[in-house]
Amino acid sequence: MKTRTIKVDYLARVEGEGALQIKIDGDRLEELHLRIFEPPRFFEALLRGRAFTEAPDITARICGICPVAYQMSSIHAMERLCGVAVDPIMRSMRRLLYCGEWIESHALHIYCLHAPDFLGYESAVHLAKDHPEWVKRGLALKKVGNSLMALLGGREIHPINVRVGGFYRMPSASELRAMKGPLTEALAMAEETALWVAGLPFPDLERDYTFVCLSHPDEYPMNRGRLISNRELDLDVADYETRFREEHLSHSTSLYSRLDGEHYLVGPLARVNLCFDRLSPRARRMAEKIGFAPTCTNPFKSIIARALEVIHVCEESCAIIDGYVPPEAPYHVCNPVAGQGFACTEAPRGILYHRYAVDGEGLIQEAKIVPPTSQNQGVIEADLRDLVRRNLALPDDRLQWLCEQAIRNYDPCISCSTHFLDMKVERS
Amino acid sequence: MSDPSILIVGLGNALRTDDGAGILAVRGLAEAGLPERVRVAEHRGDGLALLDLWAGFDRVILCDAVAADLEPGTVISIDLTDQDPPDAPTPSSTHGLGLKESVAMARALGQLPARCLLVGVVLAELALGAHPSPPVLAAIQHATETIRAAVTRLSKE
Repeated sequence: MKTRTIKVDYLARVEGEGALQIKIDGDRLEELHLRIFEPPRFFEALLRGRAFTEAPDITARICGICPVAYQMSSIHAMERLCGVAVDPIMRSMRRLLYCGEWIESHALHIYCLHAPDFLGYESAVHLAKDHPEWVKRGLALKKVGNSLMALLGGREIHPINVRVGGFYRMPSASELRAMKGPLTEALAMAEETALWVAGLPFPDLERDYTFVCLSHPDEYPMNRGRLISNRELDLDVADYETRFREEHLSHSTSLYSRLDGEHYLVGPLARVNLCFDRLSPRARRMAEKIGFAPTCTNPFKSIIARALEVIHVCEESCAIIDGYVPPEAPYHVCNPVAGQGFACTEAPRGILYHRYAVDGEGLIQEAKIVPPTSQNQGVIEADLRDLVRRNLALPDDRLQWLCEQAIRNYDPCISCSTHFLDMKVERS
Repeated sequence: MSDPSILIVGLGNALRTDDGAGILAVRGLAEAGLPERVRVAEHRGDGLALLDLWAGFDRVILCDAVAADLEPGTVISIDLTDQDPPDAPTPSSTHGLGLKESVAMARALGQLPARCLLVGVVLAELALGAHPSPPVLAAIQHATETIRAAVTRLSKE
């Protein structure tokens, strides 16, 4: 009997430091671990003793690609605690900022991180050498997202214009109108992107997932709603911790989150499957055109879900700009209230839960942050076990390629989840 | 349309000790004054954004801290037109390409300026802090002079 070990010591094209170790005994998968070894970052402890108003700027530093998600979850949690409900214009500006982050993050992942896997290229640079027009389109799309973030957030990475209660400065109507042209071009590029990714060769894998996302009757999930699943979940965010629990496994510095003890999937595939009817008209028309319908259970097709979401956010951004009337004040005053605040918003990779306990002086006593990657970690490993069992006959290099491609279905952000990849396959 | 001016870009994070060498060098240049038609920019974060920053310029000088098997504080010049920048001192993030990957991407996309030079300062450390290590701090002036000499050379081309 031959034992094989496939070991990827440092996973490329995922954010952060992680490794994959696979041990195969003859025709049996013996062991598989997605090992996250990025050092713990202690953000939750760092927040203790800081003012509740500082949470958006501190937590934004957790991630360079989804800082808006951290800002949104923290401000919604604090506003819930303070009993402040922002007006519709401010809500729409927050969605617009979030749209910028989704465009930037999804375009980068589709073109630079995931598409090379499907097309047999080692990296986006290698892809660009043969198909510069594709990569140029991806970068042009990403740039529009960046511009939106710079306009509303004050800068592209780690925005500085978001505060509890609103913004420090609201954009002028003319500043927003200037984004309409680039966004209209981005919408066309997003549609070309969806047509392009729909034609990629998809590995054969169908899985029985529990999909989880936010859901609100009036809008595509982003920054309000209840937590729902394709099973029976329908939960107020305040009750998140009654059903979702995190546990620590020795091989990972990222915690594993479970829903009633089971794995679940968050992110674009969950959102598109559960909230398909709330996608924008052009995103739905495109889905129909390319033959993508809920419920899609092939995780490799998450790249299509991502592309449909880019169409959605470009279309929604144009609609928000069309309806914009600058508010009288850029923010609502929020006075500290002792108690607990909770919020969940949809980061590009899936739901991001924050809970804060704050004292009467407005100082944070306790913080809990559950990022999307720790929620997807269990399901990524389950996908990999299934995939490896089905493909044991593949040579190590092909198996490794397929596994890395499967991990990137989730666009994992190890830096966010650490609290990631290097792959090893052992065969005996 | 191509701009006849020269762009100088200081790269790095001035809050990560020696990583700020490029930023400090271009700040020194800007303070001392530069010929007309020379523009100075500071850049940190995603290297891919450089492709937008230098769009329209056909002569670009980059200044960055580099990791090399040389004495810390050594100033090196690399012609990126036909050579690669050194490997990044830390693993690059997928969410922001490093200089080497960004130059390779620019080359693949035909977006590398016709003349592109790198003035590198060999770093000693990348700890948190606003002050570079003594050998790197001592090399800033040399880096500034090397950039100025490159400006003079490129201006004549």
